[in-house]
Amino acid sequence: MDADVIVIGAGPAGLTAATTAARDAGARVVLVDENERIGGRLPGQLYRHKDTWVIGARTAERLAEEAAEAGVEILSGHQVWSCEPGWRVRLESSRTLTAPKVVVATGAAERPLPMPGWTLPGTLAIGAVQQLVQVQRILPGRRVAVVGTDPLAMTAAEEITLAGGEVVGIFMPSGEPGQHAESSPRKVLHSLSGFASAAPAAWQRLGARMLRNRAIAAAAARLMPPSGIPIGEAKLKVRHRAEAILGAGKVEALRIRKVSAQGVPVGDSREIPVDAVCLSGGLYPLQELTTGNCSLVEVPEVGGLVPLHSPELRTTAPGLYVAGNVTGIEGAAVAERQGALAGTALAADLGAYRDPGARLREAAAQVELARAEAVLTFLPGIFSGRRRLSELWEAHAAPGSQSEGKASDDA
Amino acid sequence: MTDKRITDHPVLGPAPGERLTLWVDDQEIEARSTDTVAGALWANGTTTLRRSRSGQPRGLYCGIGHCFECRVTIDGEPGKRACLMTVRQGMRVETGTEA
Ligand SMILES: Cc1cc2nc3c(=O)[nH]c(=O)nc-3n(C[C@H](O)[C@H](O)[C@H](O)COP(=O)(O)OP(=O)(O)OC[C@H]3O[C@@H](n4cnc5c(N)ncnc54)[C@H](O)[C@@H]3O)c2cc1C
Ligand code: FES
Repeated sequence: MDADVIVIGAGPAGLTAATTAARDAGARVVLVDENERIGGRLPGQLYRHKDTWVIGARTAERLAEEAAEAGVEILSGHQVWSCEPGWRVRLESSRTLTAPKVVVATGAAERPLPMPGWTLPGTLAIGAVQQLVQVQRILPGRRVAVVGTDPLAMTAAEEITLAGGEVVGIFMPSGEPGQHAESSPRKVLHSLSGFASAAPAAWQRLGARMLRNRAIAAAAARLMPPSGIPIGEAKLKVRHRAEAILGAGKVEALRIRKVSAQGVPVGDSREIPVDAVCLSGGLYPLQELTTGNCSLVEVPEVGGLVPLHSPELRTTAPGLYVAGNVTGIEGAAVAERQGALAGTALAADLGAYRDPGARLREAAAQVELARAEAVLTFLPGIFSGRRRLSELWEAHAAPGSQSEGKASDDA
Repeated sequence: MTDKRITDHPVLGPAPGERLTLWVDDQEIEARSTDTVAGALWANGTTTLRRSRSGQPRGLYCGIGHCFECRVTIDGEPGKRACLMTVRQGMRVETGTEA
């Protein structure tokens, strides 16, 4: 065996899981990540929380220091190809690592937002914008259009204007097949309630909280000014949808059209000159490495297909744990606490604690606290989704249950 | 450098990293040591990184290693994701391959 524990993914979840297992159980931990820089999606994150800025790069530095102090061995710049019971973790370089325990903390990926012209160079997803602006300090363009309705579309617009770029507007997706994002103004306003505490102005925070009520969101959509709602220096154009990205060889313009409160196009389309378009289609859990190894369940409220897991983040496969966005789409603070919880469960299984129950309860309470205080909520139904996941686990764990059959083993 | 560079960010401060140069399709370009290959090319105005089988231009898209749209040849090795590779002094990058 190469180690006691292999952790896959060095985002907030993987880093804290590795640190906790190494520190509490004295385990030999190897942490693998395909990026050269560790921290997962953290270094690209920057958004407002009340009067301060949440700077992901600072959190990443702190977590990396803690992992180094705990003696975690970090193997960066190595993609994991597969993971098989035993556990054998195969790397891109055709090297194989073995350990009795594995934590999968591979995070989330972005859903595409296909529309005419979207393969033109100059069309960027949120991840690219965050990496360019916050990490490399490069503007995606001088004049940028944002298309999307989730909290990440709003934060991207703020990040670009803060860095000196112009955002011509945040537009609704056209709602065509293959797009997963909301396109009717009414639903958009409801989903935007997740952006509440990151919204810059107090009146906006109040407004966003009220939007959690579906009836208020519907009424607001009818009253919405066609000029848009201010989000920082950009405007959210709930009454305009993006129809196509245009250009010869690269992005040159975005074609938009006015829509009614129900999302029905009204009037002629118009072209706005831009040199980049940022698309935000929402996130889904990146569970590929758990497929075939443990039971998976489809829970749309947490973002789609996820490994079935206990409240302590054990899966149905012995020695396989999960943490972070692979279990459902939430913010970085929740992922960090989930990593500590998975690390605690793992250390408990290695016999590290005199009173494992108390340690697990404390770590689980920290996750709940982070969830309750979340700055960004990506999915409005996350709390009911989490409840549903615990019910599915209880059904699986009940003596004599047939639940193995109910949970799909792959998809 | 170019007008896409953010030299002093109002929250994050001055840009980190040192200046260096690399070769892109036999042209020398300037970059910063914190750039990825995709970032360095983007800042220099090169948006097309490769061509699809039917000859359509493709470039940086997801920026985090998921979509494989940004594949280039780096120091003779084809199929490298430009968004995951950090630049190094004297590195040789070739764009425009069909795949
Ligand atoms: C583009 C994007 C932007 C986001 N922006 C925000 C934001 O602004 N605020 C916020 O709170 N949340 C944001 N999120 C949500 C984000 O997922 C969480 O904040 C948090 O980073 C999740 O932590 P994690 O440890 O689960 O995963 P991540 O931070 O994503 O870390 C997972 C790591 O695993 C690596 N990995 C995955 N598969 C493999 C493999 N096969 N081999 C090797 N390494 C692998 C990944 O490259 C990554 O480094 C964003 C997510 C995405 C995808
Ligand atoms: S841009 Fe998607 S893999 Fe590089």
